Amino acid sequence: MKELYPYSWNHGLNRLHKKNILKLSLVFLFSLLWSIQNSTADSVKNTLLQMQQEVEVSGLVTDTSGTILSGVTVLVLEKPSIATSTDLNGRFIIKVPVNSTLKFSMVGYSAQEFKISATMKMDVSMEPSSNAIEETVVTAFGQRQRKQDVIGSVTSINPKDLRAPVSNLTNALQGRVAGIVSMQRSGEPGADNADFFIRGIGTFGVNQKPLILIDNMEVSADDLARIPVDDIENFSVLRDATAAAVYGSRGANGVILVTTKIGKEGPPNINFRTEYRISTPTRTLEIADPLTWMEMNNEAIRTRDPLGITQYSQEKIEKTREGLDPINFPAVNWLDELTKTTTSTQNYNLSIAGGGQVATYNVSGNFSKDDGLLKINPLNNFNSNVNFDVYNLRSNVNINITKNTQLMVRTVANLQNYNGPPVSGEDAYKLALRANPVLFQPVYQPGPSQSYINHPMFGNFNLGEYNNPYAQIMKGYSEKRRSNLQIQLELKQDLSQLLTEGMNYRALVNLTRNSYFTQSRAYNPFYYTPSGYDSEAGTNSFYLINPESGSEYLDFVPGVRDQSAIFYMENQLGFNRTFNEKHSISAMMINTIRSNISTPTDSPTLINTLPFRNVSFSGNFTYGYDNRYHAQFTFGYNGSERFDSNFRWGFFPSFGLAWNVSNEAFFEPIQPIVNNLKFRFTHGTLGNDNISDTRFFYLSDVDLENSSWGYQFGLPNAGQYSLPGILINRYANANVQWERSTQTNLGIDLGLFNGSLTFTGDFYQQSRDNIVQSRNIPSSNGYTASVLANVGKYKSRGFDSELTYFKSVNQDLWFQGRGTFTFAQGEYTFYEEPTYQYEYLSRIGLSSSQTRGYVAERLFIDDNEVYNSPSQNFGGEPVRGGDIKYLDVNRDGVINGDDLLPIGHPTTPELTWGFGLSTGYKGLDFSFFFSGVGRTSLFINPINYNSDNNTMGTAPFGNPSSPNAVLQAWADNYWSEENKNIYAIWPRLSQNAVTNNTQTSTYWMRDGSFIRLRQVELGYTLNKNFTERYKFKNFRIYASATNLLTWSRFKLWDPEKGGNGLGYPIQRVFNIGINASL
Amino acid sequence: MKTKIKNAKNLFITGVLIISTLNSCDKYLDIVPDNAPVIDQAFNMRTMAERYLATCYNALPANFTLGSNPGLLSGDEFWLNSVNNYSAGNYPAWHLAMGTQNGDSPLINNWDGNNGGKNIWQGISNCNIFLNRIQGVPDMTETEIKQWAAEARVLKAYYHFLLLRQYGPIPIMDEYIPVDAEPGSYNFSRMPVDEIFNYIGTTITEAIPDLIEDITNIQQETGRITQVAAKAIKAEILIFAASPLFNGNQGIEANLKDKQGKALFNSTFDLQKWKTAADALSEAISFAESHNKKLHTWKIPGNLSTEPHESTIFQMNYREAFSENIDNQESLWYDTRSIANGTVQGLFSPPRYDGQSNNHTNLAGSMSVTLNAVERFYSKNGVPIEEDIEYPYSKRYELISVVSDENNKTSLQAGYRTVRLHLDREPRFYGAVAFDGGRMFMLINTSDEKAYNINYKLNGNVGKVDPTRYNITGYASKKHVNYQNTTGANNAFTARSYAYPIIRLANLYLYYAEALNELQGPSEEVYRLIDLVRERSGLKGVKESWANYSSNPSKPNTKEGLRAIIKSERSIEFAFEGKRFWDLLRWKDAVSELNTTIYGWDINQSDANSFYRLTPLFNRTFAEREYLWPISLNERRRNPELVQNIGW
Repeated sequence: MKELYPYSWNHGLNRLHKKNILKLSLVFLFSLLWSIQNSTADSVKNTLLQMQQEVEVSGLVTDTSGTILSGVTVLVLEKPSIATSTDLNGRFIIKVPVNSTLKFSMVGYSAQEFKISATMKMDVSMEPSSNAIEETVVTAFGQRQRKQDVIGSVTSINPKDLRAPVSNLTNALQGRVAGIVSMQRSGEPGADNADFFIRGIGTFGVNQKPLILIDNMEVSADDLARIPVDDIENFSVLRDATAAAVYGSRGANGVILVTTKIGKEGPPNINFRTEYRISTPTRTLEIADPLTWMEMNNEAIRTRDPLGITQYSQEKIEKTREGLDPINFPAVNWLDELTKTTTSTQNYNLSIAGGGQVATYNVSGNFSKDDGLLKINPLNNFNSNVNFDVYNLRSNVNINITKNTQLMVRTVANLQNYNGPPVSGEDAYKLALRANPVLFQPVYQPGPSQSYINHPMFGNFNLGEYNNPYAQIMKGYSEKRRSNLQIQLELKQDLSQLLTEGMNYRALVNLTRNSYFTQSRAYNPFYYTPSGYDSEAGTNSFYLINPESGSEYLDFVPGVRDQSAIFYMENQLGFNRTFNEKHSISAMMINTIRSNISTPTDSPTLINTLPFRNVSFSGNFTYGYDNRYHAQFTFGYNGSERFDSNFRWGFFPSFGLAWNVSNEAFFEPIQPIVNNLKFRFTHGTLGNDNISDTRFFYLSDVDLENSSWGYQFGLPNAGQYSLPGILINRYANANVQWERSTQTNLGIDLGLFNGSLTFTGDFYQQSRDNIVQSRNIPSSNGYTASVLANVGKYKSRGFDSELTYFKSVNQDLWFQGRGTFTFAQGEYTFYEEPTYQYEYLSRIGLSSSQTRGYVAERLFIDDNEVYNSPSQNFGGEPVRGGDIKYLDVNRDGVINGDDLLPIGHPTTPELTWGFGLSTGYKGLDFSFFFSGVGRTSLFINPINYNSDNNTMGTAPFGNPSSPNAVLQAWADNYWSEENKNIYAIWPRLSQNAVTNNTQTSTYWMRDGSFIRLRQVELGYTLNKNFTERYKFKNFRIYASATNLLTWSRFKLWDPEKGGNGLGYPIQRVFNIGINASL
Repeated sequence: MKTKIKNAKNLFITGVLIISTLNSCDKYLDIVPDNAPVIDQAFNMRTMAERYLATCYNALPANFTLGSNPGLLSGDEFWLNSVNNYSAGNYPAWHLAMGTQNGDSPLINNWDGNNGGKNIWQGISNCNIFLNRIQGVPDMTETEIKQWAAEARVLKAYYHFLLLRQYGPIPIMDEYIPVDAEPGSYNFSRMPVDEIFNYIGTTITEAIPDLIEDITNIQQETGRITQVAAKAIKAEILIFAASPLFNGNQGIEANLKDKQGKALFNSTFDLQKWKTAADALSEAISFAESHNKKLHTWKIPGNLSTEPHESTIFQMNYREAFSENIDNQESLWYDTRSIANGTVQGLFSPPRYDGQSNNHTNLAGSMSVTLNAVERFYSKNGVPIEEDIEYPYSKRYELISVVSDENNKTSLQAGYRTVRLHLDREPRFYGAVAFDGGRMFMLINTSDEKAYNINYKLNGNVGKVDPTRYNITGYASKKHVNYQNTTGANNAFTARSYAYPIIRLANLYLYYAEALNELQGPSEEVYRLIDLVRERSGLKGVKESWANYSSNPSKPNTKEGLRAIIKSERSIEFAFEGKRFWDLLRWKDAVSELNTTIYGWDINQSDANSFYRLTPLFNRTFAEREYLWPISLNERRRNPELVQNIGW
C-alpha cells in the first residue's frame, strides 16, 4: 500500500496548509523569544555598568515543610531589572546593590522581602499562601499554574478526597469530581472498574473514554484503577478545549491527569498505612424457593401449551415440600451453596521519602488483597475462590546533576495476581442463577459402599447435561497475572543562563512493558445421580453418570497471553517570565512521540501486531496583564497512523480569555466579601483519532480464507472438497478522518468571605462532527459489511460546578464541606438515517444513550383482547392474554417499528452530584460523603440467557438443562390464569421468554436514579505529645465504610449495576485502618 | 553581542531540528504493511479465484438447516412438539406455519438475512464482483474462465429466482454497485414479474454453452452448475413463470404497483408460458437422459440373509432416491454443503428403534410427520384412498389387528393393533413413513424380515421418554433415514450422510407432464411421464389404476382431473423433501390446502384405543397475503422506492 500513498510535499494541499501554519507559528514563537532576549540582555548590561557597590547574596529557598522550591523569583525591589530565580536545587545567587530590598516571590506562596546590607548567605522559607486565589492546579504536561491564571476548565481534587476503603480508584470518582459521570457496574475484585466519562458522553462514536495520563504517560483505565491513592500528588481533570488542546487528537473526551509524589529534602519520612476491610453485597438478590420454582415451571409450560409436558409431578412437589429425602427430592439454593455473604480485604502501604541536596526520593510500596465471595470445597486441594492481590512499587528519585540540571528517575511496577474459579466471578454468579434447583444436590456424600471415591461426587441428572454450577466452579481454578513495568527518565534543564531568563527545556523518555496471561487448570467433574437406598447400611448409593468423560486429574487450559511494549518520548521548550510586574508571558512548545506494539493472542492478526503510533507537536502561548486580563492560544498538531496519509495530521487550535474582576481597582470596596471573582471563556477544537474498533480503517479488510463463507463440493462417502470463501469485512474509504470536537466553555470562579467559601461553575457546549457511523444502504446492494463514513454529528452541553466551604471555628474545631454537581446532556444533531414516515422515529435531538422502545399499556386481559387489539406480531410465539399490550402510537392497527418512541431518560445519568462534610475536633475527625445520580433510566433485561454475548436476563426458566432462577419479585406478582392481574409486574409465564414480551418497552423501564451514602469515616489522631514519645510523627486510627446506605426507587438489585443485575454484586465495605508516620 | 550570536545559533539549530523531525514523523506513522489483504488478491491467482467462486455458491439455501427451511416446516407435512422446546429464534420456519409472519421483521428474511434467512443479495453481489474481475486472473485458461463465469451467471440468475419465488417482484441487480455511489442512487424499484423471469431465463440460456456438460469428477465437482443442472434449473424456473401465482394472477397481487403506478404482476394468463416451460423441460430431460441420468433403483446388497420382498424393493427404490447419493443417477443438482448428517437424520428418525441406542442425543426424533401428510399417500391400488372403491376410507381410523401376509409382513407387525389407515397403502407410504405398528428396514438387519418394529405409544420402543426430544404425531420420516445407518450398544449411532438432491429427474418428468397437460390436456406423453415415476414404486399406470379402482375412473381424461392427479403425484413423490410448500404457493392452492387443522395421534397414551384418538395440534391458517413474503420495515425505510406486498 505504501506505493499508493507515498509521502511527498506536493501531495495533499490540505496538510501542506496546516504544516505552514505550524511553521509560521514556530517562527513567530522563536522571533518573539529572540526580541525579548535582546532587550533583556541589553538592559542587564546597562545595569551592571551603573552598579557602584554590590554585595553577593546566595542561599536556599524552601517551603515551610522543607521542600526545595525552584523557580522562585528573586528580585531587587528598587530595581526590578536585577533579578534571578532559584535553580532546580532551590539555590540562588545574586549580586545586588547594598541596602536594596530583595523580594522572593512564587506562585502559591506569600512573597517575602529582606533588606540586604552585606554579602550574606541566607536561607529563605516560603510560607504557602493561605489565600485561596493563590491555589495552584496542575495543567497539561504537568505544568503547575496559579489557579487565578488558569483560563481553561481545569479542576483539581485533593487526593485525600479520593481515598475510600476500596481497592479501585475509579470507584471513588462518582460525585467527587465535578464533570465526571461515573457508574460502577460490578463488584468483582479485579473486574470492578467503574465506567466514567468526562462531561458525559460527547459522541456516539467508538471512543467515549477520556485520555488518562499518569506522570505524562498515557495509561489504561485499569492502570488508573490500581494506583494507590497515597502515591498521588495531584489529580486534575482537564475538561475543555483550551485545557486539553495540547493533547490535540487525543483529548476530545477530556483528560485525567495524575502526578505522583516526589521526595522532599530532609530526613526520611516513613509513612505506613494498613487497612482491614469486611465487604458484603449492598443488596442480596431474592430468589423464589424451589417449590415455587417447580410450580411456576409447570405453569409456564401448561399456560402456553395445554398439551405440553410438565416436568414436575405433584408427588415430587409434595415430597420436596416435606423435605425428608433431600437426596432424591433435593431443593437447592444455588446462591447459598456457592457464595458467602461476607469476605475480607487487606491493604498495606509503606512509603519512605526524603533526600538531600544531591537527590530526593520517594519510594512507596502497596499491597492489597481482595477475596471474593465464593465458597470452596474441602475435597479439593486448591482454592477456587476469587483472590485478587495487587502489588505496587513506585520509586521517584530526583537527582540534581548541576545547579540547572535535574534528572528524575521514576520506576513503577504494578503486579496483579488473580486466582479464581475456572469461570470468572461474574460468570459464577450467572451460573448459580441458571441451575435447576430440584433435580440434584450440588455434591453427594459417598456412602460406605462408595467410600473409596476420592473425588467430589457432583450431582447431575439424566445424561449429565445439566448445569451444576457447583461443579463448574469447584472443578478447578484459573490464574491471571498482569504486570506493568515502567521506567521513566526526565531531564529538566534551566536555560535561563544559556539562552534567556525564564527559558527551560525538559525531555522525558518512558518505557513500559505490560504482560498479561491467563490459564486455568480443571478436571472434568464426575457426575452422580442417586441410584437407590441401601437399607442395610442406611445410606444412599449413587450411580456414576459419566465414567468415561470424568477425570480426577487436573487438565491445563491455556488462556490469553498478551504482551505490549510502549515507547514514549517528549521534548518541551518552555518560557515563563513576568515583565515589569504586569506583563506575564509564558510559551511552551512540545513534541511527543508514542509507539505501542503488542502481541495479542486472542486475535493475533497481522494488523493487531503492528505498532500504534502517534506524533504530536503542540504549543501554548499565554499572556497575562496585571493579574487582571489573561489570554491564551493553544494548539495541537497531531499525527496518527490510523488514517490515510492525506488525513494523517490534524490541527486543533483553541483560545481563551479570562478576566479577574476582583483584581480591578473598582472592585476594591467589596473585596472583603467577594475576594475573588473571575470569568473565563474558551473556545477551540479537539480531535479523536480512535474512531473505530478496527485499525487501518481507511483500507479494505478482506478475509481471504473464511470457512463459513465458502462452499463444499463433492459427496459424502465419495469425497468432499471444501473451499473457504472470501469475505469483505470492510470496504476501503480513504476519506476517513478525525472525529472533531468544537468546545466552548464559560466559567466563573467565585471566592467569598476571604476564601472560606469558593464556587466554580462551568457551562459548556460541545459539538462533535465527523463521527463514524454506518451508512443507510439497502440490503439489496448485497454488501457483506456495513459502509462506514464520517458523517455523524453530536452535540452536548452541560454544567459542572463545585462548591467548597472551610471554617475553622477555633484552634480545635473545624468544618469543611464540599459539593459537586454535574449535568451533562447530549443529542444527535446529524445521523444518517432513513426517511422516516413519522418524525418521532428520528434519532435527531436524542441522547446517544437514550432508549427507544414501545409504550406498554398493560397486560392483555385474555386471548380475545389480543384478537381485537392492533396486531402485535414480533415473529415469535403467538401472543396470548397476559402478554404485554403495546400502544399503537401511529394508530395504523399494527404494532411495529413505527410505534417506537424515545422512552425514559438516558441509561447514562445526565445528573451526577455529591456532597460531603468533614469536621474535626482536636484529634477526632469525622466525615461523610453522599453521591447520587439522577435523570437516568434502567431497563430490566427480560430474556433468559443469551449465550452469544453471555448476558443474563431475568426471565425465568429457558434452556431446560440450565434454567434461570425465578426472582422472588416475579413470583410474588405475575399474571396467571387464576389471577389475571393485568398490571402484574411479570407477564404470562413461559418456558422461553416470549418475543412479544422481550421487546424494549416501558414495561421494563425503571427509574435508575439513586442517592447513596458513599462514605463515612471516623478517625482519631493520637496526641502529638504521646506519639512523639514513641518516635511517631503522626498516628491515626480510623474506621470507615462505603456504600452504607442507598435510597432508590428500584429495589431488585443495586441500581448502579444498571439493567443487568444478576452478576457479581456491588460491595458494601467496612474498614478499619491505621496510618502512622515516622 | 557574542551571546546574542550564540543564542541565535542555538535557536536556529533547535528550529531546524524541530522542522526536520516533522518530515521524518510522517514516515514514522506510515506503518501499514505492503501486503495487507485487499480484494485484488482474490483475483491474482486461480486458487483464490476458486475461493471466490465458492463464495458465489455460498448464498444457496442450506436445505438441511431444518429450522430455517420453509419447505419442511412451514407447510403441512411436518410439525414439532412444543413451542417450549422449539423457539421462534431457532425454528422460525415452524413459527411461520403458526401464523406469526409479520411485516416489521419477517421470518425467514432472505432479503436482509434475518430470522433464519440468509441475505441472498450478498450472493448476487458476490457473483457480480466475481464476473467483473474473473477475466483478469492470470493463471487460468480461457475455457476455465468462461466456465466459472457461466456458473456465476447461472447462480446470479438462480438467486434472483429464489427471491422472486419468495417476494414476487424484486429489483434486478445485474451490476455491482460501488460502495462510494451517491446515497439514493441505489434505491431501485421492484421490477415487473415478467421482466425478472425474462432476465433470469436469458441469463441462464446465455451461460449454458460455457458450462461443463456433466460432472466427471464426483469428489471435486458435484454441486457445481453443469449444463445438465442449468437446463433443469431453467426448466424449473419457467414452470414457476407459467404457474398461476405468476401467470394470470387475479388475486390481491394483481393490485401491486410500484411507486410510479406500474403494475408488477401481469394479470393476463398467457398459455405461451407453458409452451416455453414445456420446451425447456423437453430439452432438459433429453439432455439429462443422454448423460445417463435415470430414475434410481435400489441395488440389492449381496450380504442379505434372505431375498428381499418385492415391496421392500419398491420401498427402497423410493427411499434411496432421496437419501442415498452413491450410484444414484437421478439427481441433476445436489446441495453438497448442507449434508444430512447424524444430527439431521436423527431428528427425522424414530429414536431408540433398535432398543440399544437408548439415549443418543442425536436421535432426537422430533420432526413429526403430520397425519395430514400420511393420508395423502395412495392406496395399494395407486389411487387416493378417498377415491379407491376398495379402500374402506370412512373406517380408516378403526382399529384392527394386522393379519400378516407375504406382501405386508416386512412393512407391518403381525397381530399388531393399529388403524386401518396403515394397511393396504402404496409402497411409497411404507418407504416414507415410520409409524406405530410399522417396521423399519435397515441394512444392519441383514434381512427385511428382521426389520425393526416401531411402537409409538407411550411405553413403546420409540415413544416419548425425554421431555423435549419426542415425536408429537406418532409418525417419522423414514425417507430421511439412510438405511445404511448403524446403531448399537452404548448409545452408538453412526449415520451415513447424504447431500440434498435439489432437482431429481423425477421432478422434471412430473414438471413436463404438468406443462404438457396445461398446454394441450391429457395425452399419452403425459401418462407416460407420470407412469415412469409410478412404475419405480410398483404402481400401475395412471389410466389403468383410475379406470380399475377409482370412484372417478375418467379423472385422468380431463385436463382438470389430470392436473389434480399430477398435483397429488408430486405431493407423494416429493413428500417431506421441501417441495410441496412451494408447489402450493405457485399453484395458488395454499389458501385451500393450508387452512387446515394439523393432526397427530395422542402420543401420551399407552394403549391402542386411547393412542388412536385424532389429536388436533394446531389450526393452521393461510391468508391470501401469505403467498408473498413481506419486505422488512427497515429495508423499506432504507429504500423508499420499495413498495410492500399487499396485505402486510
